[in-house]
Amino acid sequence: MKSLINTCFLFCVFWGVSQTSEGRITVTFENWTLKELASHIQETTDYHFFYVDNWLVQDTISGSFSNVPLENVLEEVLGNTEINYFLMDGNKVILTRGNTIYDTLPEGFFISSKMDSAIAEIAEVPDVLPIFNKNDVAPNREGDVPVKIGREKRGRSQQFATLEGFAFNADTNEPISDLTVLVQPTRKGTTTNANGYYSIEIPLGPHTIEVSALGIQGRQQKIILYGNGRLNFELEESFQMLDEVVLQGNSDRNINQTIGGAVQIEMKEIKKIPLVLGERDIFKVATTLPGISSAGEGATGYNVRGGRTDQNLILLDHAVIYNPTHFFGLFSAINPFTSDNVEVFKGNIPAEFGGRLSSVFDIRTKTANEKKLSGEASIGPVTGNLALEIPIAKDKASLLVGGRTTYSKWILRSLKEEELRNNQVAFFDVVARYNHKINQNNTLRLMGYYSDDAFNITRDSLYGYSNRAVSLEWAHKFNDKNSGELIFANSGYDFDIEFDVNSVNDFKLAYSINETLLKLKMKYLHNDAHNIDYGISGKLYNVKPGSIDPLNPETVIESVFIPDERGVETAIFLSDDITVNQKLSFNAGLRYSLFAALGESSQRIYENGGPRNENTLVETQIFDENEVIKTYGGLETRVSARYFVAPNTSLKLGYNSSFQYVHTLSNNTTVSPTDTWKLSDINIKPQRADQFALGLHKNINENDFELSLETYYKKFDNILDYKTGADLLLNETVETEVLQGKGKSYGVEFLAKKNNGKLNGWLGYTYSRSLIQFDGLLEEERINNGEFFPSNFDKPHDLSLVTNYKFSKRFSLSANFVYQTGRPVTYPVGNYVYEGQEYTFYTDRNKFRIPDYYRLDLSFNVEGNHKIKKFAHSFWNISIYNVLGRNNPYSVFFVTENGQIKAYKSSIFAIPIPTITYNFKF
Amino acid sequence: MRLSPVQVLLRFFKAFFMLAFLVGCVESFEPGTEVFEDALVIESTITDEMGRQEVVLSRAFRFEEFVPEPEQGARVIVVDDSGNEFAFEETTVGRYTSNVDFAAEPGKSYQLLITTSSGDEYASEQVVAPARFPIGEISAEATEENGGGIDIFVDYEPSQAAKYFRYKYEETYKIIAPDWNSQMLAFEGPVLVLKARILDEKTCFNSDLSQNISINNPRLTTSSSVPRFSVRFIQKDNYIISHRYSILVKQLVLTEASYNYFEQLQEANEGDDVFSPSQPGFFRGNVFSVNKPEENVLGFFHVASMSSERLFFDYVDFYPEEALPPYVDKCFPFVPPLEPNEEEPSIGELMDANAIRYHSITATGKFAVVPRVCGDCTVLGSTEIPEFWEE
Repeated sequence: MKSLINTCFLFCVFWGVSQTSEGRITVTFENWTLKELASHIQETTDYHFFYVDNWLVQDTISGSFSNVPLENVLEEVLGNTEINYFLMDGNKVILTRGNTIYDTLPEGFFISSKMDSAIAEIAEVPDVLPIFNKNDVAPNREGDVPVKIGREKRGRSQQFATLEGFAFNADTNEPISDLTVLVQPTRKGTTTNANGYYSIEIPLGPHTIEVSALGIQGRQQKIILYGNGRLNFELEESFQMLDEVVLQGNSDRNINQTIGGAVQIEMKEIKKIPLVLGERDIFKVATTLPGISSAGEGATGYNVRGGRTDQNLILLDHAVIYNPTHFFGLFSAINPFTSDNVEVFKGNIPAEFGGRLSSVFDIRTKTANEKKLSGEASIGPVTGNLALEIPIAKDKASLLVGGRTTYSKWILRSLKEEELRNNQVAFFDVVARYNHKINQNNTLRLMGYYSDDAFNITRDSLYGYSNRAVSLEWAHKFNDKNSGELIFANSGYDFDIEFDVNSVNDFKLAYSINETLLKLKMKYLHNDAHNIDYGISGKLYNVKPGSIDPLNPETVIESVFIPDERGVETAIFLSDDITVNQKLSFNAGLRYSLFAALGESSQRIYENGGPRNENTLVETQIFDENEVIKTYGGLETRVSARYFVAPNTSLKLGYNSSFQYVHTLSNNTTVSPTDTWKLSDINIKPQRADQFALGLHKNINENDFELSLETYYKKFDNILDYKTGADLLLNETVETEVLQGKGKSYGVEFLAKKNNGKLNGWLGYTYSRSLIQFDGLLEEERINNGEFFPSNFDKPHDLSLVTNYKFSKRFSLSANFVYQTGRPVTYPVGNYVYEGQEYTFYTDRNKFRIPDYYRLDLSFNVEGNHKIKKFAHSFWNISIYNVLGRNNPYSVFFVTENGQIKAYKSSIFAIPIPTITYNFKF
Repeated sequence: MRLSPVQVLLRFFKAFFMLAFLVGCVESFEPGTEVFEDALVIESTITDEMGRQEVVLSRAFRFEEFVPEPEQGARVIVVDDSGNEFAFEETTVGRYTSNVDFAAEPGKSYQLLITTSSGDEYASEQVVAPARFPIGEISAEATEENGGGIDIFVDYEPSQAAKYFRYKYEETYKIIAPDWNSQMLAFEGPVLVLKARILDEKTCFNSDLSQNISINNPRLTTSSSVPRFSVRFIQKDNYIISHRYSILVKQLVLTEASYNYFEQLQEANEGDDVFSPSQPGFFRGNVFSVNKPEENVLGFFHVASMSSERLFFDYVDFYPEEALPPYVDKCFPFVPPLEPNEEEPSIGELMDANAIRYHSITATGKFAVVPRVCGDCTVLGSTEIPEFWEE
């Protein structure tokens, strides 16, 4: 290295020119601001300070120094702050916020591994930076001295070269994934993969490479590209991330990304959102975003852009989680401490995903720190949570383990009410992920997850459900242009009910679904303009729809055993990220999926066009083991385009189609504990959805404000509903109870975010409708006379406001306000008397609405101080959920009591719920 | 009552969701009918018992109203599959009785035809009268469950498994006024005197009909027996079993469709739990509008075969050593003032209102009385001994 480079830039530079000899400082001060101290030193010595005024005003300091070097003084007074210093030329002191100014490049900053890549060096280009010369290093406005990359070849005709490299976290040495690498002025960009690797083909010549990611100190690096070469980034965590908002695309990602309707939720930031009973919940945050809603508190499942709750693909490291909740939806079953970013696709779904119509929640588990043991723990009123990051082999292998469990047993036992004391509610979830970097080109990841809920109602009856998931991922890089991931995943969901009160009615009921995925996903970077993903996946489903086993030898309970269901879902996919020019890009994806329902099975064939019942049963076809019963399949198109209508404004257009071969059977308006999943078969067709979306995205003032306006129209075919009064659980002829119909939904979603500053947050508003139609040939196959009617989750107006105000580094206040139109209910249209008893009767489904829903939550965070050497970093969170005590009805129902109709409305959290949680990190 | 596993589950969760009361709440409210929809309600069960059959027609009503309006002036006919027509006549408002005695014959099918006074025509599906399964033995048994009481069971033959039954009962019980006195108070002019009692108001009988819909679909157990079914449970402290009690249990064999209809009625009444409200909707009976197929018709035309069995027991049969259940009134004697005052009514006023019976004369020579029900059983029943009564 010939010269010095500073790795950050300052907005404001005051240039001192006086020369001085080495000086020692003697100073005593009490309750001075840093600025006062700096002024004092400047006045009494030859030192000159350079800083931005408002950085130095917050904290006051005291101290006394006698004849010590300035470094000692600065070390002491700045140690607890976010201010760094840099001594230059002997008498210039540059104070920076958060950034360390390096006067040498970090070790390994440039790694030259390729034959044709030369040692990167600082180009001598005085014309670019006139003030720059070899002997003087200055922080300058652009911040960077260009580095020369690649070997310049004379007379070469090549116009493009590939720039590649890795990004590492300077503190932990972990790879930084999803780092945006943007090449200015071309606006071409890419992001780093899970290994922190990026590769981009750009024209030869001078560029500025900008890198940024959430929680990472962004950097700009000027380069002059002469040929293929490597540029690595060792980046620091940004402490400013505390200022940022929970959901955060990488800077500019919102406008740059070609596909529309994608959002990223940052796990680290969930602590800002007021909590219910102290539990951080990624899904609760998701529901504050436009287009994602849930039926209410305690409702499992999410409705994305008018889709049913079974239409969301919730993936934890590639493995499907069927029921990601505890306690029937009150809490999330995804551990917030072990989860990394969550990517939610509600519009265009990348072609590699399939099988669910409405969204993909792609949740990734963190890669553990490979250098030192660290951890995080929290103690809340309901659960205790602990996550540990364990290095196994330095810089090579690490293990993350996380576990969460309730201590509600203890809470319930301390209750006075006899009835509740006998209850038992317990849940826990554990997750572990092992990460092994075999070498530069191979990485292995193994994840295991288990969650369990158990409820004891009376002493002898037990209800429990559990989720299981394992995944193994091998990422391999073939060469600069080709890389791939081989993924194996298995997941299962089951529930059990045991009813044992010593009667002839005692029984045990069990349900389970299991799926195994094998997927090969390849990436081919053809050139600058084409970035191709392709692959193949196969999934095997095994469903045990249920059995009832009597527990008493003398019993009236008939053993019921519904035969197992099997099915294979295979798909091939191909997508190309096409950059046409700086303004226009496409993402064209195709996925062909094929589902085969497999034996052994007996399938009932009914008369065409008739009602499905015993009388219209034509025959029962028997299929042998693994014999194909029926195949369904089709081409799924995933196309989107992005066009910059102005430098910071992009327009996105997308079309997305998909098939779904598994369905939940539920005769509840929301989700019930006994909902089961059913595979498509001869009688039950796959569901299909088509979505058209248009979005306008704009960033203002760099990335300070993000605005987006998206609109969509979605149509559904063969969505499932059921006849009134249907018994779906353990019904062998489910097809006689369900209906398949059409749906359509449309909406406009508006999101405004303020990312920085003391006050930050976002406002989301959605106007949307979700309508369904069941118009069969027969009277019994029609609902509401075959007209379109609002679905159970049709809530036209949905407003969420999440704000966060930082008083200081340690104290912050968050508020969360939600307003939603009440969801549709079927309300009785009259009463009648039958044999002396009064009953209500209902006709049109979902004709009325429950009262509107609104809620305000507040939370106050107190951070422990930020001493770097402190063993643990702690913070307290005090939250009040539903501050207004609004009694938001969750459902309305009618009961005949003593021959009289009584109307009831129920709500879950009708009073303000305060909680306090203690968290610490080490 | 035998529960299907699904029903057991429902109860199970309901119990569980009581937990939600920790943080949640369920409160009742006064609903108003936002959009009222009128509908004809049909109540009819034609049985194989020879006699006048009955069809009851009424209309649906608003929440704010309390009584259904009878459907008057309709033309009601039941037709069997051999073309026999049985015409019905409105005997009381909304209540139509067949002009002749007839009985449903198992295996034959019947259809109900209605033309309302406004000219709307309705027709039921053809309903095949179910086969006869005579009622099994009725037994009563004391139990300590549910706070203790008498359970009345019906037994089954294994051949009755998987059939559809509905139970109705008529219970009759003897009432003895605890403070009956052979003397009564009377005014002779302004003077209150004691006289011998004219009316015998000591022992009465009363009959009640079952209110709830009780259905059963018995199953064979693993040992090829069919568990008995509780048709009536009487709390031990219910005064109706104080002396002698009789129950006539009627067993109706239903068609599967009828059974399902009753099951849906029951489920409609179970209500919801907090977390998982179920989707309500219109559930169709077997009567349809001829002119307007989309019109919703409520109720059901049932055809059933019926058999019945009677049972008698005395309180002392089960509780020989124990005190009688408490009477409907505590029967504390009291002394009303002779002259009216502002605070309490006088004895004269109480006698005029027929509210008291003579009890005794106090040491100070005043008349002590008890509420009428304590000395006069006709408040609760009739003194006439029912024809079927056996002592």
